[in-house]
Amino acid sequence: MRIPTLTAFNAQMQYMTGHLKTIATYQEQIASGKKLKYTSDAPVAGGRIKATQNFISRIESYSNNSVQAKNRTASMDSNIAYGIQRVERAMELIRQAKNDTLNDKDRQNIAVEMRSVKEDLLNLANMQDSSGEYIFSGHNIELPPYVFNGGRYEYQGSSEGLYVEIGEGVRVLHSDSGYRVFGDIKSGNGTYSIGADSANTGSGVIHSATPIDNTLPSDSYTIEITENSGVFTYEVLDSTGAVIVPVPPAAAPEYNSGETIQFNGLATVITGVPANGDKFVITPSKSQSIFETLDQLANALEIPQFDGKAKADFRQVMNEQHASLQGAFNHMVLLQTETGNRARKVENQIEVNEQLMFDKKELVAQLSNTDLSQTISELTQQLGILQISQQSYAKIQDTLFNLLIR
Amino acid sequence: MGSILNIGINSLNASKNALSITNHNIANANNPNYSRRVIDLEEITQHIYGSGVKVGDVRRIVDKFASQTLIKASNNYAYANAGLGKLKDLESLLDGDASGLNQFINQSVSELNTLNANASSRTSRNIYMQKLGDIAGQFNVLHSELNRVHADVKNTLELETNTVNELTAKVAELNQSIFLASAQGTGENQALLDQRDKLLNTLSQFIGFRSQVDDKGMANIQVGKGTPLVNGTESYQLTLKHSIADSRMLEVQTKDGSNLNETALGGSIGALIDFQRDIFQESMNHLGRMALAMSNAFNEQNKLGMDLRGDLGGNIFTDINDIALMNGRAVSHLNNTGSAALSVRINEVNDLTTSNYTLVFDNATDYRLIRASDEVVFSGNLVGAPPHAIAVDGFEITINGAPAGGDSFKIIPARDAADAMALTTHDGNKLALAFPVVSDSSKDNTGNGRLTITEITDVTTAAFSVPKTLSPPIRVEFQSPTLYQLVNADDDTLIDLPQVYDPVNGQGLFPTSGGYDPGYRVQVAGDIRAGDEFYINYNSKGAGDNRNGLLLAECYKKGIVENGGLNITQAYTSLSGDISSKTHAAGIRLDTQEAIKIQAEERRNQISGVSIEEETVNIARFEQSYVASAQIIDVTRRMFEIVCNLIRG
Repeated sequence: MRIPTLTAFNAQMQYMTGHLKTIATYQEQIASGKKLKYTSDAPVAGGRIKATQNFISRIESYSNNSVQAKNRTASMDSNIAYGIQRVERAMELIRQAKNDTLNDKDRQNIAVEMRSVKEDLLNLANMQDSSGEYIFSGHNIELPPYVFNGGRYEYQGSSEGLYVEIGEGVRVLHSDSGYRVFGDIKSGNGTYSIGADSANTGSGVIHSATPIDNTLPSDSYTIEITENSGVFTYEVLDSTGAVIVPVPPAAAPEYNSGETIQFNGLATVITGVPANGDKFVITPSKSQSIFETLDQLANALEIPQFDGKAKADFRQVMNEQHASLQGAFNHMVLLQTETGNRARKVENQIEVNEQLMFDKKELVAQLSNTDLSQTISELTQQLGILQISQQSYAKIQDTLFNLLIR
Repeated sequence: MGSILNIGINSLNASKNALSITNHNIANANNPNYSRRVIDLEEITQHIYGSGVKVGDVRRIVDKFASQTLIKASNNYAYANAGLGKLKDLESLLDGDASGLNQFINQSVSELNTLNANASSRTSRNIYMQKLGDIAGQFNVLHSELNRVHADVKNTLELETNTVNELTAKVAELNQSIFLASAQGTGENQALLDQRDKLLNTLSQFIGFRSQVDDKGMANIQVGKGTPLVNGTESYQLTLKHSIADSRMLEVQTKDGSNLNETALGGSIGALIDFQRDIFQESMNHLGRMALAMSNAFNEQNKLGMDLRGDLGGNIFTDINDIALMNGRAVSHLNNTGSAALSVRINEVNDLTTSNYTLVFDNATDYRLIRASDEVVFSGNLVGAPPHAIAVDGFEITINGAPAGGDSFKIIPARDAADAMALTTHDGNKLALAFPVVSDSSKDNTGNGRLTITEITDVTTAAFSVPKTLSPPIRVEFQSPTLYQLVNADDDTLIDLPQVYDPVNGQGLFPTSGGYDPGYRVQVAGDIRAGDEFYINYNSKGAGDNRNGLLLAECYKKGIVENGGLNITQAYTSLSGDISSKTHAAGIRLDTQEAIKIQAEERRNQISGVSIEEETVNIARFEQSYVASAQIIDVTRRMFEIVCNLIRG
């Protein structure tokens, strides 16, 4: 085969250019610390790097929210714990107030404290966070959740809570509905409310109405007491005024203090000495805010007890609202558990996010960072080859022509 | 005696000529286009004892096949090289960390998440709006950068077609000179052939061609499907023109105006024309489709929500079916004779392809719509009076007026969308992060039922016809734990017959059994008692409401192109990734072509290249014969002297 002079030189040039190109690539990889300059250097790895970087940035975008959610849950947790403390205090006050040895003045003192508990809880409900948002207003974060208006506590927030995203598809409650926390608490024992007609003149008091058969539809009932020459009987009427006890032809059952009265799937007890025509009502529980419960207790405590009826009225309110308060307490304990779970969820998510970021950053590093020891050893090897190549180039420059001329 | 002298002189001359040819070869050893010359010595046989030697011929050592292989290889190499260059331009544009779109998208996601935790913050709203503006801005930048790459293509093509024209003119001139030189039999001939080979080699880098040498020694050159560039002593010019079918596209045309684009031109010109046809247009469409998808997703979601002022949301980005945009999506061929005016409406972004289309009328009613990417033909005919509609692949063409047979239109559904994308407002308050509807429950409820507004599906219903009002507001009255009715809270009329409630699984309120659908969805759950009431009203004070904001955040995650297969970041990664893998493949192709070209060069050089070693040996050889010939003359001289001396006696 003929090897023309130009070809021989060109071939040498190509070899050396090739070596230099490889050396330049290694140098760049070492200097920049990156294996790839463009995705096209290795499209598959490059594509994975891009996708992973997007993923990391997506996860990072939740970091603000998860920190905020963590603080929010922590403050809600402590708020609710404080609320529970105050409700416990109110229950303690009720126990004190039920003591018959107290006088009107004592009870008024208790009423003052009862109202201060209410104020504390109201302040709690209208709590703002550092940026001035109400945290119990649901979506309506610019409005205080509870205002006292026309003798009622009006909830101005939204009935749905406000959620934020703290991870891929993970939403947590950010601003709760105050109605759910403070307002939507069923009065009485949670199923039935009880009360005495304001026109009652006797000292009879009705006690909690317990459901014993939930399958029967609930209704409002009135128990009417009739006295006939020292003998007390009662009738039960439903909301339409129809008599459901006694069922004809039976005669009206006799009333005895402390004896169970049972009808339509519920049972109750009336104690004391009612008067003829006294009425007691049982109605299905309705939502009653904790503020109303405390106000009603305070109101009852403020009324002087000068006779048996006044005492009965007082006891009646205490019975009903003590149960309501117990309901509120249970409700808040439940919320505390819920908040605790939420705090754990946020905590977990923060950990998950951090772990994901760590793993994915590791992956990006593996895919894109130069393996220094390997690259440097390859560079050294390549430099060696270049040197040998240059030496052989120097040798073939000695052509026959030069030899003959010498 | 005279004959011996003659032999000596012939031999001396022949050796001298051989030496000068050898020197000529050595002198041109580094000239890559030089074909080495070989001298043929011929015996002079005038009588039996011989008459010496003469120069028979000086041959140019070429192999036609090797030369043509080299021309083809240079052509392929230039094609691969120019194609890779353009792909690299695109890659550094799309794949760069600074210019890529995804970082803008990711930043905006981050801002939206922050905003959703603080939906009433004007600052946060404005920041997010600005981030959305940055995205639109980046779409515009990428669009104009793609156009800049195309403008570079145009400049290069102009330069290169001019160069081709100069080269072909010179080949035609050389044809003339070679013809004359060979007719006169002067030795210039061989140098001219070398020159012409060199020109053809250079030409092959720009354009692919076939060449034949005719019986007069003239090289004729054709490109494409036999279009002549050089015919004997005539050369024909190429021009670069804007296409009459689409003025944005460039065409390489012959003097008579015929288009050479589709004829696999080869060389760097062919590479640029192919780049324009395939990768440039597809990238434009890909980017445009993303802009359409993103604008559409965000606009539609924002329209379902309520802004900070309590109004229903509007478009965040330019409406994708803005009249001017719709009209701009059909380009009329300049030779059209009919009166048809077209507009193209995007109906379903998810169904859009990245292809362009050509609508051809075979006559006034029969049409063929051809998808450029795979040449699938949708044919049909127009019936009745205009306007006519043709719907395929997520868009709909509306034809007003009458097309004539032979009319054609280029349909470009997505090409300019990335340029058109812009914010309709910079006011962050216009972000409709809230739902326009809220639910509430009566304080007197005895059950524990709850209403949740789960979705807003349509705000063009009568329910939202009056601003800041729900028409009508609705009261949900439970007559029993399993039966409820919907009442118009304004006038207490019933909206539908009593509806059955499922206390176990909960119940969606709309659409009702009678088909009433106000355009939102409400879910009821829980244990509900007779007499319980719930209310559905317009959301009048939800400053912090982020329910629609959370759904806006979903717009980044859900698939919005390729039938829901790709979300917005994936769509971009697929565009840049596609360019990167094409660049990678083109790089490998270039390496292969380079190796082939080097082989072809080596092969040509093996035959035609000068080897200094070889020539050194020749010098030695001819030097010896020269010296020997001189000796013969000397011997003859002395023989002559001896004879003279004899005579002198």
